[in-house]
Amino acid sequence: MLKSAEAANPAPPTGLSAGSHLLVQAGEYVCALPLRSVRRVLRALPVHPLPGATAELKGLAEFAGEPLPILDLARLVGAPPGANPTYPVTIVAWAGPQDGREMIGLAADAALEVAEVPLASVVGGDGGFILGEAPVGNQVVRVLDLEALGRER
Amino acid sequence: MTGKGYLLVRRGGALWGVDNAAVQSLKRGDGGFLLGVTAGELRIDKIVGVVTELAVRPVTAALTRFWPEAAGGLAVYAAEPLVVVDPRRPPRALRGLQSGGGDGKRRRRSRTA
Repeated sequence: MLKSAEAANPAPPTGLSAGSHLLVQAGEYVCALPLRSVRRVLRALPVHPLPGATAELKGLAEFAGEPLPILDLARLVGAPPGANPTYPVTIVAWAGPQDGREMIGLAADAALEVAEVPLASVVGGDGGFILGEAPVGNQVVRVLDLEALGRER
Repeated sequence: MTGKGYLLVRRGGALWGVDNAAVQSLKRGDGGFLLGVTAGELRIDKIVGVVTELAVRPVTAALTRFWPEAAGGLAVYAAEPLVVVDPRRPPRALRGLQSGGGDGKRRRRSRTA
């Protein structure tokens, strides 16, 4: 597991390019989250379900004394369920546009590695939260745009 | 039955906060308690307690996108997150109505397969 990958500033930290992404396992998919949006990676936070929520919202958690909505990343990307994760994580990240960003938690099966995903290599996608797919090593990853998450309807 | 602070209650496994000033009545019923507020009676399973203060945060867009309810805000009590109820528009779970969520069928824009 990546330990506390702190990236509180919206700008990429020194040494990280705009193409730096955190690869995470979400069901059978590997997803790439822009590292500039990732604030922290934690062992899965306890989640309190919220009656009336859609399946994508696992519930609320407490993070640093604040309430945090926890979204199920596999459901968000429509990934088939994978094997039971041995070390599930919560990725605390910024979502929404820069001028109205908000903190969310993404429940994922595992944090894998940091990889470069050049935007030029991204194809397809829905023009929203799922930016598209890109080859990374010998696998295809779903590249996500967390800024779109807050504005998509 | 008005006063400063929030009444904390549990319903559907979740923790909810109701502004004390909005509480009009409280009685046993429906296997738990019935709490009278502006919008009518709320069904609650358990009374957790009363707190004088909560640091209430606004409900964010990411939350309302996946939880289509009105709320007065979010807060944390004893390391547990809670929803502060809007007494004029309480969530369906507290009104005893079927919530309609959690089925994963909320329409989204097209996804990649």
